[in-house]
Amino acid sequence: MSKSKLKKARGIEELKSRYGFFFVLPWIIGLIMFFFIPIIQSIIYSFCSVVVTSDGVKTTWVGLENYKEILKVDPKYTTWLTESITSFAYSLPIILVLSLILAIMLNQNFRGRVFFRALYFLPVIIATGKVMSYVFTTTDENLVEMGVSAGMASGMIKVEDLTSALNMGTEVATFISNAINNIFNLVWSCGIQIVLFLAGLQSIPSTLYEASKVEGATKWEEFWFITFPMLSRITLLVGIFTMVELFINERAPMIEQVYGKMRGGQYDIPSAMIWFYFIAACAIMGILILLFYKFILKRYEA
Amino acid sequence: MKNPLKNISEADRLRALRYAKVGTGVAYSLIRYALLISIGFLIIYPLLYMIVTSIMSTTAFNNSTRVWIPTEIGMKDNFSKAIEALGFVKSFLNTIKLEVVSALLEVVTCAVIGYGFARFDFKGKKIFTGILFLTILVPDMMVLIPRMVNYSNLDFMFIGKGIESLVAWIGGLFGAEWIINITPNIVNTGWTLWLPSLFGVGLRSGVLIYIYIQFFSGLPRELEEAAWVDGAGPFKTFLKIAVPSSSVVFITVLVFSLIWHWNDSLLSGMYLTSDLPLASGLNTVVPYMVQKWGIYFTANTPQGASIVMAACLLFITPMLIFYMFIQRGFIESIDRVGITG
Amino acid sequence: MFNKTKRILALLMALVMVFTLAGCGAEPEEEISVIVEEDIVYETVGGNTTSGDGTTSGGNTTSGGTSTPGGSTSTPNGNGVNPEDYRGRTVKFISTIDPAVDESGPVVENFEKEYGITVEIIPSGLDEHAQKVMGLIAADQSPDVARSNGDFPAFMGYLQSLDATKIDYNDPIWNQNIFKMTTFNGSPYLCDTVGNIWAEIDIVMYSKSLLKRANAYTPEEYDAMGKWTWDAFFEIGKAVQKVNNNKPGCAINSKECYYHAAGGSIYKLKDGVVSNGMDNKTVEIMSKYSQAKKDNIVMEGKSVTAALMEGDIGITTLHAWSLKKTGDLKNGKWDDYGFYYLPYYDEAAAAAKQRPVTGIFRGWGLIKGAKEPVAAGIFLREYLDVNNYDVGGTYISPAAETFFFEVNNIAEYSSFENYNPYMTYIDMNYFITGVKSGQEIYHAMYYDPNQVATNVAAAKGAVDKGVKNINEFIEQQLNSH
Repeated sequence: MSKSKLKKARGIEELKSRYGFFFVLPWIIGLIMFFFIPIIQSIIYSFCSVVVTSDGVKTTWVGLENYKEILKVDPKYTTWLTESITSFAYSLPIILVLSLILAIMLNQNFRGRVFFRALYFLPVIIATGKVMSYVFTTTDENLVEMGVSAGMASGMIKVEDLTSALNMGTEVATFISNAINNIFNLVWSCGIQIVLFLAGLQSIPSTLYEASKVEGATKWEEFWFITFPMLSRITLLVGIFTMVELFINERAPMIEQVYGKMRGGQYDIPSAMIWFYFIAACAIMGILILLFYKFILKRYEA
Repeated sequence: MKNPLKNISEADRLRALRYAKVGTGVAYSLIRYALLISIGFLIIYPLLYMIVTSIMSTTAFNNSTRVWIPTEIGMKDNFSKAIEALGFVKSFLNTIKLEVVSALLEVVTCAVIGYGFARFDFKGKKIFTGILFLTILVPDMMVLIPRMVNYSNLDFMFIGKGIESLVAWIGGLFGAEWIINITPNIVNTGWTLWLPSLFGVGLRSGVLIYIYIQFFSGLPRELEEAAWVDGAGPFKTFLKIAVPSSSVVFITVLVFSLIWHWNDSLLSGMYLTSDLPLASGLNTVVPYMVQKWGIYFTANTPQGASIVMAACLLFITPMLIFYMFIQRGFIESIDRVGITG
Repeated sequence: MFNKTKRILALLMALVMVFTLAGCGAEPEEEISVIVEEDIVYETVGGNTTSGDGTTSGGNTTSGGTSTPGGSTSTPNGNGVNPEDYRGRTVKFISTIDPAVDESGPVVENFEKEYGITVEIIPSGLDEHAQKVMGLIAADQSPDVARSNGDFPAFMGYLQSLDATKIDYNDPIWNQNIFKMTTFNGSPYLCDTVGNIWAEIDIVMYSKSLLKRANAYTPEEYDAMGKWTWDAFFEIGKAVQKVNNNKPGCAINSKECYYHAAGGSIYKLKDGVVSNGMDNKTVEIMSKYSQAKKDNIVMEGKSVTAALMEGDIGITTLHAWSLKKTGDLKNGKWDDYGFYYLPYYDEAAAAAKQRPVTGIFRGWGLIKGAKEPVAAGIFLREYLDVNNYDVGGTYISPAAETFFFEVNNIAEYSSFENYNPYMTYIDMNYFITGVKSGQEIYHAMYYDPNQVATNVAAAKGAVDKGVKNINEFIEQQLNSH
């Protein structure tokens, strides 16, 4: 009798797995048609010299030469790489921490909380390439002119004017406007993260907090021993999302360069650039995720 | 670690909110407001800038380059010019036809796929999860051109090409050299956008699928098990059980998808040569301005900036309105049931 | 589960190592860049006018003045092409300009009626222009005609030579200079006509009253003395500054305009090869500007038209389009304004009457893989024919109109070889040249005069690299046929 029960169970499992496959089938078809073929093409481009001619796209195999060129010959690629990695390194923690803090605050009950919640989601709606670039137009004469930045002094004081008046070099001016730009960019990148954290916070059952109150835990302890661990799963989601965004979004240093080259009509070098970048990004993300898993495991064991 | 208490009573919720305060007192309240407002300022500044600039008239712009209250309002002129430069009405309709439909398709398809991932254990699932991440990671630009070539000879998994060569071979046997061309060219049609969305590989579909997976994994299995036992097929289970309890995630995904599609100018700009949606229209505002009225766009040119800002405002307004409406449901519903499990 | 992840990770790391080793040969060169490159989005948009651009006259033609409306000629061209053979065809024109929007609308309509050739306009934004065209080429859907608006060398990526259009190169309406400049491997790539409606020329405008008050000579008076040079321009500025509350007395609408009109160049293009055009003159020219800025003679940061209208400055360089009724200055005090040509580089040039020009490539070309090259040629011949356009009556005054046409048809143009990448298309050209004109070159003018020499030396180095990249790109494109 128990045997037949087991058999039935396995049957259902098999059945289930087959059904699951059907659910996913359209996606697999889509992958083959619209994803894999272009990806393989793109990889091939990175190993060729590509010219668009009247007869279509002509590719001539050059092996590792594109890669050699970007890594050895072109001094800028490695600079961009390091730039990407450093900006990623400081952006990631700042965004995560900032979003968490903001989400905690927005989770609390105070006047105008609905308004603020809506406000902080606004960047997601507005931040598209074109609109943002219009607001941030930079011309050659003024490092940052229109719209934001220049210390929020409404562009009245151009950073360059200020620094040349004080006889500081161009480096300082660049640094200042970069810093201001970065703060701005960081805040604008937090929109979706805040929403996700909010959702996570909401799902923490209140009983836990009540119990801790009874035990006399301080707010600090409350945060570290209840909120933080309960959020670990959603933090992973937010973390992954943020990492991908930081690497892939249009304003990332490397992406900007690559897109520009592609807009100028070259396909071979940018493909090489981006595949190398992609591998590096994967490696970094993989390490971070692994570390995070270890971190969580430790927590749960403790 | 599953969340044991999914459906908490209202009273509990309120208590949770109260207890979630880190500190008490006026001081903390002030700090909170200060922080929220100062950071919020960063967000609202460009918006205010856009609004103010777009209603300024030319003389006001010349008068004082950056003062918040314009001395003269030329709103009608700026906006009517912006509407014209954008080709607003036509573009708007195009956007609805192309992007909105695409977004809706995506919401539906990704739900199905996400459910498949979440609930079933099929062969090679691990590999496919990895591939899912790959789709999230790969930037669109990389596949843009190869896809273009692909679209011009759309081949259903090589079947088209296969049949073609088969026919050619057969024809060759008989000395006849004709080939049926059954690989359509869909460039410059809406299908370039609808088709990928239909198959779950549209704009940022990977992320949406992932969100769905997270959500569906968190749903309690009991109801579904019950449905299975009752003899409902998997699809029926999906429709009758999973979907109704997923209003939250549907709204979330809809918001994300719609916003991303609305703002997309890359895909549509590339694959369409006529009947462009609004985001592409934004690209052509400046050349139009220059061409028709001789107005350039620099920070210092009076009307140029105003018209461009007006165009930007027109562009984001539909999304803002949509967000206002849905916001209630969106944010409050996240309150009710968490997305995570 | 972790073992598998670890394995994949290890594989990735190995791949990364392999590639790094492959590339880990020579150390990258030390690049002396005075200005640190920023990672701000350079999505500059067209017409982002740091203008100073193109003039498309030249050759020996002085055609283009007031025109006869409509009236196109449909004689077969010099190459024996009979337009009648092409009735019923369609020419696809990818353009950032929409004929429905400016004066070319009626011309296109008339053309379609008269020749029976349909013209299909494919709209494109400015910065995605090249990409869009190339995508269409790759998909075997090439349009026929494209307008190249200063995107050299990018246009080499999507254009083929004009030979297939069978247009008659000796037809007097064509600007021979453009043919000359864009000849590669013996065939020209771009065509353009003298004085067409898209020609952008810079002129000088001044406030008569202010100059009188400052007791300064007007440009006309300087020219009569044979002294209308940039030195004179700054002198006027200085004089105005004295009587005008020490506000800067003159303005220049773009550094690029000044630099080229003063005789400087960045790249030189001759016989299909690009070379470095910066030389000793560069330092001299830039120092002059830098000094003027230091002395607060030159105004920066405010709209030049606004400044002129409000009486802040006495003289400025401007687009000739300001002479139109719809131009920037339409609300200005027109009885007070005078307009004149740009100053000569120096007195020798003044004596030789070598009018300065800011060289920008603008033209129309035939796209690779075009399906209807000959019909396209017929279309271009009519579309660009100035005689087909009726542009009289759109100027502020009859004097302005006369001057406008004069300026558009200057016969003597010197060194078209002083090619310079049009500022707006920084990204399109930058990603081939690797040089950001604004930051790495023109910036030298912004700082203190004694820093100019060092900045220029650095810029020269950057331009050398740019030259190399451009020539390589051109060669790659030419060799692929």
